[in-house]
Amino acid sequence: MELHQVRYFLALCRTLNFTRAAEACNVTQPALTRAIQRLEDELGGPLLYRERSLTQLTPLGRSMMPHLETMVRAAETVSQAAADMRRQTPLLRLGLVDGLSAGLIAASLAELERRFPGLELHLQSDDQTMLIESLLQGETDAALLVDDGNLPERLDRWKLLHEGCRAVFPQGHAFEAEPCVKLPALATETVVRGDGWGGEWDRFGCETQRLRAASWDQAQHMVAVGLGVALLPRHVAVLPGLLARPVPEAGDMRAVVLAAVNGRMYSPPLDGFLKLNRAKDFTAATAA
Amino acid sequence: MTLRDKLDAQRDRSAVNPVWRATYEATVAELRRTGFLDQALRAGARFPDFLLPSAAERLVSLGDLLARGPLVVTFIRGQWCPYCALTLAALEESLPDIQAAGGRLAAITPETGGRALAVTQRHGLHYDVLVDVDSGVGLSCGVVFHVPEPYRSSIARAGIDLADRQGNGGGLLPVPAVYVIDRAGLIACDFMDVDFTRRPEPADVIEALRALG
Repeated sequence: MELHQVRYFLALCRTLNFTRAAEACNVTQPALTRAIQRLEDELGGPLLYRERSLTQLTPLGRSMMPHLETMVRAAETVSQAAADMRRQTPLLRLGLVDGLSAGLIAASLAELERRFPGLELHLQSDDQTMLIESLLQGETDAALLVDDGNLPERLDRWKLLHEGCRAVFPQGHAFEAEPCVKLPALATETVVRGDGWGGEWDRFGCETQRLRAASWDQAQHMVAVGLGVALLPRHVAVLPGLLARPVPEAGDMRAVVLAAVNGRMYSPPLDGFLKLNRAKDFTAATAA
Repeated sequence: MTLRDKLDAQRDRSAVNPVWRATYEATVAELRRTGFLDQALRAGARFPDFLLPSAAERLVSLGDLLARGPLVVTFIRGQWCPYCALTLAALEESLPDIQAAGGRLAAITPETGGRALAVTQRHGLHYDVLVDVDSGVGLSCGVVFHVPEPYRSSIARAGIDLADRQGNGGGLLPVPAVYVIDRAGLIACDFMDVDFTRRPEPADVIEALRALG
């Protein structure tokens, strides 16, 4: 397929009118019609119902539209890059869901700085709800979120990694001697639990009722003074003085996705950030 | 043994399976029928500029690659494609000759999630494998196509999930075109065949490079 065919199709999706779509694309209507027919031939069926007074997308047209939109954006971002960069200081605002270490994306930030010198780079951490709100309001360009099955439709999301579990404990704890923590060893521990996490550890015999925290940070401070241990997702940054060991048998604690609002044009740095991180394999980082 | 011999041998092995053979023949026939290659960028056209992540996690532009001389770029279909694997390995073997001819080499894959790094490591490649995330460059070159049935189902049955690999549900693959691009960014020479089991011989690509002087 060709870029111009796809552009014509997207113009038709917006206008639902061959004459207006042709005008918008600055081509003759027969040229637009021919291009659409070739695209339909390749995609294996009509994309639009052509009726005298009403043009409508077919189910095939509707199902292909978002994918073709994504491709055109990927094709066009680069050509607009130069112009955009001259017009304004580039700004990239990124969010990380609470507790997720910026170490995950640090390498991509260094590469963006090399590629877009002078880039204004704003990082923020917040809870999932606030970050989603901020994305939808256009105050955050992209965020690393937890896929809890409730992400809004308007967010495009790409899976990055499944985070395993680490036990966090003070120095001198018996866990220190082993490369990883086995479930039987956990059974005698008191585990700090929080809202929506940690309660499930009682199935391994842990005491999970007594110590309760509202954030990863609070949980770790309780651990630091010897109240118990915390079981945290792999990429939650560990407080100084505390140690962490993986708990492989505990399975995955959460799925981390990269998210951005669909339908918006990406700035070149945002496009670069998303592409760099989508191109990469995060599972190695997870195993570490 | 030339690349062509290796590709032929691979095709013969695959074609033992009558289902594969029928699907392959139908796919190539369908791409020929739709006049697919008439739409692709050919010699004389300007290769579209790009900024793509590499296996080494750098953002690489066309300008970077053309800074010191002409460029050979090959589109590949993915880590799962045995014909692409043979081509990547053959190009790696020819890399010294490509460099001696003043050229640089890069491959472009639509696959995300670390698969560019995986093919780089598996074949010990010393050239960039770039990730065409969402196939924007492939679309600009006119080399991507919507995978027709029954090939789509056949790929899926083999456990190859294009949506997962490419990170989008577009269901697209590139024709594995090879372009020789001169320093000014113009396509000096193109090699493309809708039959994905046929690739240019590296010697012919090098010949085209040398012709640029």
